[in-house]
Amino acid sequence: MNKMERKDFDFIGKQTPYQVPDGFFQEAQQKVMLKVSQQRRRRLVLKRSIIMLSSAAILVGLVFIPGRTIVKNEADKQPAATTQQIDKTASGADDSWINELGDEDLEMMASIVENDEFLK
Amino acid sequence: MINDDEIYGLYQKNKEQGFRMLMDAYQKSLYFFIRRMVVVHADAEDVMQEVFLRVFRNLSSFRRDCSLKTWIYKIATNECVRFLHHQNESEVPLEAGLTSELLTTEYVDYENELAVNFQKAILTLPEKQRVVFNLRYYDELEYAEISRITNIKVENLKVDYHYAKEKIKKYMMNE
Repeated sequence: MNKMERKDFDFIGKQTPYQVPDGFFQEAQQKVMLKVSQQRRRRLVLKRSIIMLSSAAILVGLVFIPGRTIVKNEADKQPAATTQQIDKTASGADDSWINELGDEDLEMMASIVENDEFLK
Repeated sequence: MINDDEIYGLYQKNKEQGFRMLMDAYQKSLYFFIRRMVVVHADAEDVMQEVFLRVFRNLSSFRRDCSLKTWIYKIATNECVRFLHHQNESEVPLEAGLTSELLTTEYVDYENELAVNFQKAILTLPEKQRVVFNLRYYDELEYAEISRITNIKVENLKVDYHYAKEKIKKYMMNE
């Protein structure tokens, strides 16, 4: 800010009549940190639940797909490969899309997960 | 004064500690910017909290194409405008509503008449001029930074600031 601009309101400077209660800034910071850690916890729970759900869905799919029983002989030839595929899918689930979700979507999904008896 | 690199450095190592450092650096100036915009202490507290939560959620994806201060003030300005528009559903003009709140709300030093009148003068400004005046006069941001925050060209900002000053001077002379 140049001298000319500063000079315009020399009679008052930067003072304002606004005040805050004692200890306000410290308290406000604690409130924000509390909300931040709650949000982080919710995201973590959601992420874990989604990974568990996708793993379960893959397993269920593999067990109940009718095609697998018909071509049983072919499947028997490569049992190790199938197990590896399951492990790979389960541990390396692509959850990057969670980061792209909006806050409202995350909140909604988190509340669904928290209220679902089967996921607890 | 803590700089952006220190905040980032700590944030990379420990998100919560880094964020705490960010709040230490910006909390006071940000609160008073918001307070000058929304007037009521409790509203300023709510808006500030929302601003910091947004900052925390988006800090990892912040591209650093401007300073942290500019980015935070942009979020704060948007949040203030959103809050004021949401609140102003009545038929009373926004500026009149804020002025009457200034005269009745808590945590205002009414003994400092000059400062109260100066704020009253600022509250008579249209929203855009009020944002520009507050960012330039109190927070001493450069026009280029205010331009990033408001998406208004620097030339137009200078005109807005000039008009804001003239209106405030006129108001103060008539008081």
